[in-house]
Amino acid sequence: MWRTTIVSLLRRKPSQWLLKRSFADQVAQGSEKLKLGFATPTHALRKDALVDMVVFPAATGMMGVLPQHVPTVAQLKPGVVTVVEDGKEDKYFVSSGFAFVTKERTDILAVEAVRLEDLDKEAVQRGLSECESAVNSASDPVSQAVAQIGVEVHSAMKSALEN
Amino acid sequence: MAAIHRNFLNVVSKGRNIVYPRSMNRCRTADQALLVATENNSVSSRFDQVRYASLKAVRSRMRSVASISKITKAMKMVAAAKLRGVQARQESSKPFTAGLKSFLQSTFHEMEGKDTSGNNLIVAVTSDRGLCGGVNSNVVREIRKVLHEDKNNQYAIVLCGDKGRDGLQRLYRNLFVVTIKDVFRAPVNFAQTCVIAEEIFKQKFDSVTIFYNHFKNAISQIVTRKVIPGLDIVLKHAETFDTYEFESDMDSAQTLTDLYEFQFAVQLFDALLENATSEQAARMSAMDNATRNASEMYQKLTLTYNRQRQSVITGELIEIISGAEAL
Repeated sequence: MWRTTIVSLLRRKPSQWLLKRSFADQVAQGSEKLKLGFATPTHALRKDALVDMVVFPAATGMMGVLPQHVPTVAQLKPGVVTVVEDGKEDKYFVSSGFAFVTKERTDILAVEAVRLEDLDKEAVQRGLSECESAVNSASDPVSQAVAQIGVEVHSAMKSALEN
Repeated sequence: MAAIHRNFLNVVSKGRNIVYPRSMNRCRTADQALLVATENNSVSSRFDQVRYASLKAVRSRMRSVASISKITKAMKMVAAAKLRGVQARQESSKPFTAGLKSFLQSTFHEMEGKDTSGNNLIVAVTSDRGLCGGVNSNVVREIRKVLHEDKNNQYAIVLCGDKGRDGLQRLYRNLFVVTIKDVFRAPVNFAQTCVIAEEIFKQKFDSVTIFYNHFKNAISQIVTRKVIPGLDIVLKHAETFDTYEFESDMDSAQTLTDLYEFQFAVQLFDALLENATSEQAARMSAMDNATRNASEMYQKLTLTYNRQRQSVITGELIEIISGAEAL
């Protein structure tokens, strides 16, 4: 009887029973995985994805979130978000935003996010020197603050690319 | 051209209850009256007197109705194409706006109704262009209802989009504090939303109510109000956030302010996107109705035209025959 079940299982299209298996795995591991939403205003980078860990640049320093993390609200500063998924690491650069860690899920809402490998080293260098000179030449406090933010973001990008 | 414009309004407003400024309704003229008359089939006396001229009038009327139906059809197709674009845009923004929802539910929504009497800010999200069915007048009606019923609160109105101004300026012009137009000219984006939010933060308020059209599906848009407590209220009830730890290098008041501004921008962004989608959907169905009305009108006019033509021919035949018999 067992043999017949196995045979009938094998006779089905592989995609069917493979799909079933992966669903079962997800249920079993649900509590050990982190439900992650990672989005910008224009697109979603992760939508209810089940990941192992996520690391993001909170204002107080890099912050790693594992499942069952304490509920937290974190302000993001320019830096690298790392999503660890099935042993793979995906790195994104975010400019700013907020991260919300609740019991059920974690949401990272970034104003801008790009893949780290999409950043152009030379453009970053150029932007950095432009912003630095803008800080020096700024006449009013507002434009100086804007240039200062530019310097911060660019130097964060630079250090992200160097690591 | 003026006649076309008039007919256009007639066609468009037939399907839906659109409120037009009174001056436009007054422009009923001879040829509009003629149309009303033809629909009632009580025109014989008029047409008998000026036989050929009336045929000509019907003919030109038919031509203008036909061209209107072409215009509305094109507008419908443009709206359909735009709807697809804006809907895709909204869909891809959804995770961003939805990401905040569970957090808001446990914090900001708890504060609803607490100390929110006082200075109330109404943000009216309406479209910049008309001819989009009832979306704008529905928002305006809802706001009027709120302003009419409640006498205790002090209200101020922020207008996002041009059409809200048309609907509210007669009664509540003195309440306008900020008017922002051309909000939907470029596709809704977050940077622009932040600029609008900044503009709103310059006002003093105890609570904000955003009125917009929620896009349910292509044929149904629901006027929704979103209440957000003011920053002072949020700071006063900071204990609501006790379940959360805060990770920030600034003091908690500054962090809360930042968080408040961020969530406000996100919620406004959501409302603007919903309204932009609703506008296109409503325009699509309004223009579809208009096209249908125009073709219906065209058929009626064709019937009238043919009847007139036949009676003219019959009249001429009678004249010829009786003339021949008299010889």
